[in-house]
Amino acid sequence: MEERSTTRSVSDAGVPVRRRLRIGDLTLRGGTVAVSLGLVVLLAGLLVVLATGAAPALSQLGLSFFTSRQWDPVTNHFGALPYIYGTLVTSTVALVLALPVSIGLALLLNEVRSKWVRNPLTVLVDLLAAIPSVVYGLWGLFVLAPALNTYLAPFLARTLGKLPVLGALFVPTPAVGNMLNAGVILAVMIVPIITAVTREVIATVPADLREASLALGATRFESIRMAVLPYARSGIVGATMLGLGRALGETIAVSMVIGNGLGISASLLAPGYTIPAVIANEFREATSTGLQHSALLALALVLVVIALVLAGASRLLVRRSERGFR
Amino acid sequence: MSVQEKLRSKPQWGSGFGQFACWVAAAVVSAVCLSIIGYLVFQGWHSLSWKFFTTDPSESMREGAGGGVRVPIVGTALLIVLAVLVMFPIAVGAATYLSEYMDESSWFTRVVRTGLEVLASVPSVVFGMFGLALFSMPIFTFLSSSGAEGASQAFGRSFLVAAIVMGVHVLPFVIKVSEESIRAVPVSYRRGAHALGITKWRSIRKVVLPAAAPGIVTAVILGMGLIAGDTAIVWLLLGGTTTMGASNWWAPSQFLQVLRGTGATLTTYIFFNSPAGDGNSPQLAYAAALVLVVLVLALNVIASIVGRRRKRQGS
Repeated sequence: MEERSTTRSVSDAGVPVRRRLRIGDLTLRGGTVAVSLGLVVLLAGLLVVLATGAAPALSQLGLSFFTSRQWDPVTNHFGALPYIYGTLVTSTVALVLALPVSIGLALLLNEVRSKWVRNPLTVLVDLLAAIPSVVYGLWGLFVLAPALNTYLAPFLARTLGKLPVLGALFVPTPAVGNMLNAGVILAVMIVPIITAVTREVIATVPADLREASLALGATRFESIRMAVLPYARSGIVGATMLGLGRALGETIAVSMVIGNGLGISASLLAPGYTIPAVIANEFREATSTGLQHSALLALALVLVVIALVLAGASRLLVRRSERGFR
Repeated sequence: MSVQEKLRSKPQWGSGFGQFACWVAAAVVSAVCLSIIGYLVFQGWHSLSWKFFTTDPSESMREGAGGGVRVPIVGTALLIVLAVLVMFPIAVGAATYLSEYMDESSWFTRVVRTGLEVLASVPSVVFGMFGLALFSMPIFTFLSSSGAEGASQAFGRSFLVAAIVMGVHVLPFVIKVSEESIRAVPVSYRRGAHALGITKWRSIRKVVLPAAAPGIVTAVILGMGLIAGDTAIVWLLLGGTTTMGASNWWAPSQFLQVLRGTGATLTTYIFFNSPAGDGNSPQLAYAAALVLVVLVLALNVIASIVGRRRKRQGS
């Protein structure tokens, strides 16, 4: 008690506060501590529920859960490979498309001084961030997918599809829903996140660096490429991982446009399936004791573990870059 | 090779190309955004009518007969209110702890901070699963009307369940923004309060929190926007229907039944009217999407107005 009453509570102010404890103080302090503790307990509960739920499937199916392509409730065999594959492929496509756009946008928003360009662009990017995912799904279904399937997919198959190795990615299929659609939708959804964080990171690059490179005779482009971007690199990687985390967990929009087809195809123009999509489609029906229920929880566990690793790495990198030592 | 040598050896075309690439990026993003908004307005506008807002969704979504959005709008509003009730005290408590009481070096603070960051990275569909697995346990029957007679499990889907999980889902975000706004309260306020000899909890209650209120309200309003737009949790935990589970839901005596029953939101209405949800009335889906986007944008605008007032006060 004595020790508690002498903690420096207004440490920001640099004013050590020593005073008697009163009922109100104790209650408020206790209450806020309890609430914070509750959050930690909640997280632990979440992990425990997922892990205990996933245990039967993981022990019964073993490694074949990760390597089998069959997901069959009738024979009670569940292999997660198509979902894991689809999740990784769509997220990768999203990153490849979103990253250059986001960096370009962030640079533009930082470099251009005219508010006639900056303000509308900022509003548009904020708008993209505010659109709910089911609306993206609707747009993907009615605007994006037809456009991609009618114009872009045949074009890609005709041009890039002829290349030796890369060509396998663009083998045409008649499917309406495919992984390319999902990747493009995800790219649109994560652009606002990556842009916002990248913009902040670039804004923290010291002006000295930029001015020094300009003084050496660099053009603006060169100073960005040689001074600004290298300095901000780890922060940009962190921003990318933040976006990747969002892309991995996106559910409804993806399930609406990806075609929900089981099967592993190298071609981006073939239908696929992702972990969140299968959870949304099957978890509602899955009987609450069966192996399917457990297998779905195991999928969620896989998703959470990936998300955790990404989030951890991203925090580390953004923080490092903001502090400025690399 | 020094930077200077590097510079001399570089061809100069890069500058123009880099700039061009940035503008292309901006043009693409603007085009996509305007296309989404334009398409929503263009396709949804015609279906907006008094009737659209005052009729309920029809039983069958097929053959272009999707009905109106009365129940979904009520559902969205109810879910937002309930989730805010769940989230608000927790968010303010945790933000107060993190900004006023915590000791950066203590292990407990580090655990709380890490926990929050982890929670923020959990996808919403996983929260939905967690909620369904947890609240299906028999002891939680009081939160959701039980499904089949004599079932050993609770139904696990209701407004209450969905609101609790939704509140938890947006908590990390709301706590983060609230904490920042509490930290932004000038130190002089706290010193002044301290100099007047009042206890710490009174100073927090009477000085710090009121000064941070606009920021906290901004956080909550932005959180409301997230709640209105989320689909995955609603899909798993509100029953995935287009109707209210409770009959005569407008009657005050039915209130508890409504809370414990399933329901619809704008997001489920949009989903079920699109081909993905086996519906066949995309026009209605667009109209509902337009309503939803306007709602979320309105919340964002209100939040930024409140936030701006805070800045003016702070200076």
